[in-house]
Amino acid sequence: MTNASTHDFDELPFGLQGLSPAILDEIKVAIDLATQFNQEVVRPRALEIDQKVESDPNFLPWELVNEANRRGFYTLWLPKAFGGKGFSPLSMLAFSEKLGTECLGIANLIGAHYVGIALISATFHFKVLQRLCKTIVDGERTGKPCLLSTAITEPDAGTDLEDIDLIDRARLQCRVERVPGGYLLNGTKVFISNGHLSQWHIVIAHLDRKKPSESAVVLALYSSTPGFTLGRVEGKMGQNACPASVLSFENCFIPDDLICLSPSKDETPEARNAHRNLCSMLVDDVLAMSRPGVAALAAGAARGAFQEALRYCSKAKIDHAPLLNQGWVQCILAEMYKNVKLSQYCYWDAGVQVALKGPFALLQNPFIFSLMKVLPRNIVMSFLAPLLVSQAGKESMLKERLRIQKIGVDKRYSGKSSIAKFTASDLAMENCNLALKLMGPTGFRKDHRVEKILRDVRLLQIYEGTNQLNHINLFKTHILPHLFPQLPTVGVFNE
Amino acid sequence: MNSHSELLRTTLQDFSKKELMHTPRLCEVSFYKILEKAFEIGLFQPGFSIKDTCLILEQLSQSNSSLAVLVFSHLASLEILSFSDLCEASPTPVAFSPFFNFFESTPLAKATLKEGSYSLTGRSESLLLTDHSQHALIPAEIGRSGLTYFLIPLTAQGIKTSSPIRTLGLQYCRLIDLELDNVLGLPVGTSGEGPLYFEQMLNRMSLAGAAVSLGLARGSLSDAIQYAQTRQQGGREIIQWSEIKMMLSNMTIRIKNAELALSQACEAFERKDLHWEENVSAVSLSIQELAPLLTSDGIQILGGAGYTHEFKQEARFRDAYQVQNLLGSLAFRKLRHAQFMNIRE
Repeated sequence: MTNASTHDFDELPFGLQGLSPAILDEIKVAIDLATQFNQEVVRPRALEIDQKVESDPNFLPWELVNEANRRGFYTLWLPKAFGGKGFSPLSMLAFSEKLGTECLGIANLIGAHYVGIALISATFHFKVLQRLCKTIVDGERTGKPCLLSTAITEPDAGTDLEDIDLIDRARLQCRVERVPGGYLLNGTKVFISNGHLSQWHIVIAHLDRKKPSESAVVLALYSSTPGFTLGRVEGKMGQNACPASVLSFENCFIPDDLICLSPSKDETPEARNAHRNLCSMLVDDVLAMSRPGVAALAAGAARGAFQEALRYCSKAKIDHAPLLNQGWVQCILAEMYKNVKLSQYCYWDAGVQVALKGPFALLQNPFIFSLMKVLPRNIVMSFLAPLLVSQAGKESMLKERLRIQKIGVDKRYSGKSSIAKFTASDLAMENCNLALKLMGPTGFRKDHRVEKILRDVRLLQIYEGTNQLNHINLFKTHILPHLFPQLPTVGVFNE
Repeated sequence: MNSHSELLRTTLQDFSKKELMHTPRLCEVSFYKILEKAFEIGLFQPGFSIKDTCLILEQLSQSNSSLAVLVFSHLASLEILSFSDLCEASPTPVAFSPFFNFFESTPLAKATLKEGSYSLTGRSESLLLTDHSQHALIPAEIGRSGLTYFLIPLTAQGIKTSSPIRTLGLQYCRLIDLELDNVLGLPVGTSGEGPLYFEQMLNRMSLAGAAVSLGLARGSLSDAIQYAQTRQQGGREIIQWSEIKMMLSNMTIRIKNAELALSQACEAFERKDLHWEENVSAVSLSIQELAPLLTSDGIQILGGAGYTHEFKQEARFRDAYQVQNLLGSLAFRKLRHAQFMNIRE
């Protein structure tokens, strides 16, 4: 198979060619890093790791985790001000797509680490972020990887915790209570990506389980905290390289300096409403940032399925003539190609919106981005870090975030992120269906990659909010306010 | 439904309840014990009407499609063997590939006549093997166009059996490849008539394949409804949310349509109605194509839980894709279906 098709997919959609040269260069670097990782590590090991986990659900791919650490992937997208390499989130999308062509589990392992970073960043508590980034950077230097996991889902609350309009009806069992010097955490979280591989767990729990929307606490828990235990690794159909863990907390004490967000002690309705608003923005922002990432993974998987189909068709014959001569085959391949392109357009559209209009848009400003690129890290750390971790810095970021909310831009990028997520994941499934149709009985053998891609892709339609929830989010953020402003009594989850 | 079929359905339901309603993952030893019991109660016996065969396979498939496919494969191989007097030569289930289609693939094994006997060299892929199998029934090519089935003893010299092939689904079905080096084999029926025998088997067993797919979809729907009635999100059982209700309703409607179509197609087959072959082909193709979509919805209703081994939904989803390829890939069978348009004209 020639490199022509790969090169075509690596080209950015035409409209993005106008991004600043520094960002475009960085995207190329990220793609090259992913390509190299794919060739040297992912492709040779992905099937083996997948099969190892199937035979032993407790197997953890430490070799892979260490290799990604050695290559600097856990600090690549950390802020330069906090010791990271300061790559743009846009380059992470390209990186995720490329990795996704070979193995979604491995791509998700790296991506899930950054969901934790996104969650802390969205609280604007940069002191905690700075502290965690230091441990991640140290982990890279010492060869002992330091990963993050994000713990939100509970045994009786999944979808409920992904939308502010549902959360007050959730049956929560995880809870925090204020104690002198910090908080005590009790309960269980489930389906936590990277749980068994992480040193830090970013947990959302609630003070008042009758009114969780007004009492959310976001905290960072270190894995050696007394009372914290790792439960089982869930046996999943796919994405086996990235374990989904059960985390249990029994009277875990988290000191105040590891609390990223908490309600004020003021119990007035105004204070509670203000906190509710913060939590709403937090959930929306984290999902708005992560959903284009899921869409990028989907685009990668759609591409992977297409490439496997091409590989098969280039050798297969029917009645001693090349299968590729058949019109129906040509149409299917064209459809698959289109699906890859559409997925890419969707995730870039959403990703660029979030990056350039979201709460951290300032960092993507071409001048500031280029300046950050050229300034040595120690200089950035010296002058920018104190600014960010200061109370003034936090308030200024929050003010900007509230301004975005006031003009409704956050609704736009939230809706776009949802479109990207459900569109790309559905198209990736479609490509897997088409590849299996083309390959017939050959396709379901594990020595071919397509069956693994199918198993891996299926999860993309479920996590970061099921596709159904994402449809409702799109209705809520785009259709309702713009097309039905005259119907104020219409709302979601109001049946 | 007549009383015989009703008795059969009750027997199957009892068998499924007793033997198959376990936690989703059986160990291999337990599965092969269940296989023995299935033999004992006569599920592997030929002689059922096509309607009853479909009933058996659909019921089994709801609980464990690996068992259903094993029964399917055995019955399909018996259909082929019935064109010869070789059934007695192999009293136990033969190793047979239920995925091979003569019109889609050229056999990888070549047969040459030497001193009055056929000697086979080459390869045969994706054969279903049971502990009882003593023979394999494989397709081979004699010369350029003599496509024929051959029965070969699995203990013959020159046979190399691969280790079990790991596949997407059907986790309890042991699939193997055979490498053949001058292995003596007995031709089934008349040499060169392999495609004819396959086609006649396909006409009957495609309905049986559809029944396996339908069973998967039914099992998925049943578990999805049960889960939706107990799982709460948003302060109520999720079945109370209209979108979930709509998804379940769509699944129910499509399964009901499939069930009716399959029943009618079975009757058309038994009566040999006008255009029965076209009806059989159309119904079986559409049901086998539908099952992966329905089992995917079955996962979606359960959310993250549906993706785990804790529930059967993800196994059904994987099995449905593999079962779609029973008797050849869907795409080629659809292309072959186009022949019916010529007859109409």
